[in-house]
Amino acid sequence: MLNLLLFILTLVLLVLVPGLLLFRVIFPRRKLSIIESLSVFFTLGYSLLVMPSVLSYLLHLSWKVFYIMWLAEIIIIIYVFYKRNNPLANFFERPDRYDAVIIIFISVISVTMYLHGGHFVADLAAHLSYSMKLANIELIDPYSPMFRDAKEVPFSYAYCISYILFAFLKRLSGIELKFLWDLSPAVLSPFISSAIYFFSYRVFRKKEFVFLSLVFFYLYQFSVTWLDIKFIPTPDQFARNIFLYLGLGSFFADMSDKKDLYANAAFLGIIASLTTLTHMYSFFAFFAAGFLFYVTLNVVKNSGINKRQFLKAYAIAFLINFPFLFIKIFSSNYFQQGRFFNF
Amino acid sequence: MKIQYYSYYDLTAYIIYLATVLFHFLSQRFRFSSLEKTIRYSIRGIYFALFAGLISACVYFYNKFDAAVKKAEAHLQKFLMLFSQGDYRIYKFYFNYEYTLILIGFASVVLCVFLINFINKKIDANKYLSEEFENSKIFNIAFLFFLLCLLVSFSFKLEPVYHFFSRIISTTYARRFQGYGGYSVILLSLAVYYWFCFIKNSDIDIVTLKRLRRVFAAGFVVLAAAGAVVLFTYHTSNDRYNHSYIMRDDNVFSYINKNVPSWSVICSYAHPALEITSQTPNYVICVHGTHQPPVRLHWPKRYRDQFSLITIDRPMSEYLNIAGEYSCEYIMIETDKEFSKEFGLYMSLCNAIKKLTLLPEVFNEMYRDDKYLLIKINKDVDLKKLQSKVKTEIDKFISSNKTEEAYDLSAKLLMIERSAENYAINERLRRSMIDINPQKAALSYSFSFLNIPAKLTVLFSPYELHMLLDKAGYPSISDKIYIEAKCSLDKRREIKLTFGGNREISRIVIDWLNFESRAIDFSISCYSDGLLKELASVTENKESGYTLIFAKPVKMSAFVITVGRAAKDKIILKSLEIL
Repeated sequence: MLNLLLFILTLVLLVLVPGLLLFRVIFPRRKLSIIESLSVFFTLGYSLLVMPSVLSYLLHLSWKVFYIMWLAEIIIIIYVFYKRNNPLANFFERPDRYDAVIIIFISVISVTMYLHGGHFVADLAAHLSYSMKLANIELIDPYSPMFRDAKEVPFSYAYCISYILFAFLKRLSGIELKFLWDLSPAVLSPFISSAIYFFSYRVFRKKEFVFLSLVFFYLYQFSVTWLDIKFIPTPDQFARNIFLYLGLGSFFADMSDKKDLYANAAFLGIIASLTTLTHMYSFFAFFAAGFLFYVTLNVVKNSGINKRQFLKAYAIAFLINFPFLFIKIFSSNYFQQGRFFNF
Repeated sequence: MKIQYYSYYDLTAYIIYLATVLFHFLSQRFRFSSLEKTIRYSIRGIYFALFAGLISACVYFYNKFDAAVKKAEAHLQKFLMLFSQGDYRIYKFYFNYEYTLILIGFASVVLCVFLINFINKKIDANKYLSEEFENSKIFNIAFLFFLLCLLVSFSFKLEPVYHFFSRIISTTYARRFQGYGGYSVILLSLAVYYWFCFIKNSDIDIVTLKRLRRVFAAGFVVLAAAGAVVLFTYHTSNDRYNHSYIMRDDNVFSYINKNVPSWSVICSYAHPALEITSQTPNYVICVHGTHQPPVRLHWPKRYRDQFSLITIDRPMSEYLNIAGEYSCEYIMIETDKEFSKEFGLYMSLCNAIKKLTLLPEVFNEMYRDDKYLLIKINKDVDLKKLQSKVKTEIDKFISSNKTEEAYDLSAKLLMIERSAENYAINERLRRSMIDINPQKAALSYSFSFLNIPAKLTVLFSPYELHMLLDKAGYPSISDKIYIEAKCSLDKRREIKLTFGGNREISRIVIDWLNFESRAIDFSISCYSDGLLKELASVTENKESGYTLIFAKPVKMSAFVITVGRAAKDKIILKSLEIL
């Protein structure tokens, strides 16, 4: 229980609060409901690890340098936050009955996951190996823990931010990795519900449909013994169940908002980058979904969205992400050894 | 899912409960004077008690044939069989148990009604038994509370609840809580219900009513949430693979974290590889196992000296050679009996593990629990020197006529190196042992070395077995295993035993587990000088054992039992003795 409280506290202080500050910097006037804010703040807080992580992976920097870079980002964000915002303003929408019921669902699932605990077998054990290695070395590198002297940069999971996240939390909180891993389905499952809430609220704009969407999701998860939630510590679950929903929700709804177009595009770019750096194939899924949406737009001629604006935002989202994609693909052994198409 | 109840009290409570529920519903439809109502309620009470008793009987019946209920067809068939055969077991337990409960239920309801009526006469029966009152909100709220308690008490009986509580409190108290908890809730709710219905003044103000509604709604939400947690936990609880072991502080991973220097190289088998790298900061060579990452043909040379977590698809007998090849410093072995399902691999692993106890100079046991074994490899040992030292000792024992001691040491010699010369020494000494100690000279299976919790293990034979030596260095005939092989009409099955070298065999004794597990048509062959030679053939076997004695010892490197026809769909060998 102590580990759980410490984990939640660490997550709130190191990820959610910076995420909140960054959100207010990007969207000074927007309000969110409490539930959808969870995944948004988590994603933005997680995104603050991107630059320190990528630079550390590329240049084999130490954890000390990593912390300095991360702190510098926090300081900048706090400064800009105070410049652009009234710190005492209310950030959240008033919750209604549906929100209350959804919070109960989220709590029930969290408690269930707490009782169940995390898995340690097969793929999850392999992912945990990466975090174990990063948490115990002084110089961060992107090489697979399967090899010591051989510098094998895996194609799928090189430069993965979720491994850094766990190693980061472990180093700062002092909680052993096995406890973090075990508690993560309980602590991180609200973010999945929040991400789906965000997406369905953006698309449907009605709480009844948001509620229904979540119920269908829970029914599906129940039928597969909550696999997606139990596997939450893995990068692909982060990408597919949190970032993808946020990205699609922002893409389908916020892109039509002319006022905040660039802010939305920046948000989308951040999500796309995170998706690529966490689980690359999920990014392609998002990219494909966006492209299909564009095709659909062209087919459905009565849409009110300006195509030029849409294309501009789409290009921005892709361009922001392009350096990370470049690094991942071109530094991997698969590409360097000409095995790029052999996966 | 089973519905549990544990005492007569439970059922009685349920009967009263259900009777009252139905009593409430049906009483709404009839409007009589108070005395008539009392009589009507009493009569209905009898009907409802009978109905409740029937429900209780169904519950009991459901649980009694729980296994059959799962296959609905089997359940129905059984019921019909009993019924058509005039088997009075159905009526018997009904009569003895359920009927008694029905009577108790009926008596309880009637008693309650008369008691209440007596109290009503003291107050003003008409006021509380009027239509207005029966339709009043307070009456219905009380009834809702009543239903709520019914759900709660019933949910206590469900298996997920038991699992949930057994995690928080002990299983004994969880059971008791299930039994008495539900019962207590029922009685409490009954008392509240009757109090609301017949005692409480009907002039309740609207504010109190609203508060009551909110309280019950909150209670409902809390109970529903708790029920959902229980249900979801039960639904997901079966796949907590390895979780509880890894979360302990006294397991091998905690030991490694404390006592093994970080980034050491550990040789392991299959699953432990990933578990080591995910729980400890070390590198792992993994023999014959996972997919993370597999060794490709062009990799071994490239990564040979680079201490990798790689999987090596090589025979298990080379397990320890691989450890040496990759300069591993430690070895971790999974000894969990679940592992024994992979029969062939397990046998091979045991073969390799024999080295560990026979060569304490090389392998120092650091940690052992019910799941894993951790061994440190002493790299400074000169194996050639050790081998010549053992040979010298064997010669000394032979010259001083200590054949048994020499034979024990020859097993160690084989473990240092499986050369033809060492095999010849071991076989020569084994032949000498036949007259001195035939039991020791017999070659059989043993897992005594590993202290497996279950001494007798049913294994699925992949038809190829390997000879083992036990801790003391000679084959043991204790701790037998069952070797099982499935047979079908169109397929012959072979069980092959390889010795790892040439041996001269005088006698083979086979024991089937029982008469029904025997092979009816089978043959015994051997591999001699690379050729398969038939030794014996049996048809229409009616014995539960078979002994084959050779006039002259036969030299063979392996022998095969080929099964043509079996008494059932599988044969099970209880023991196999080769001398």
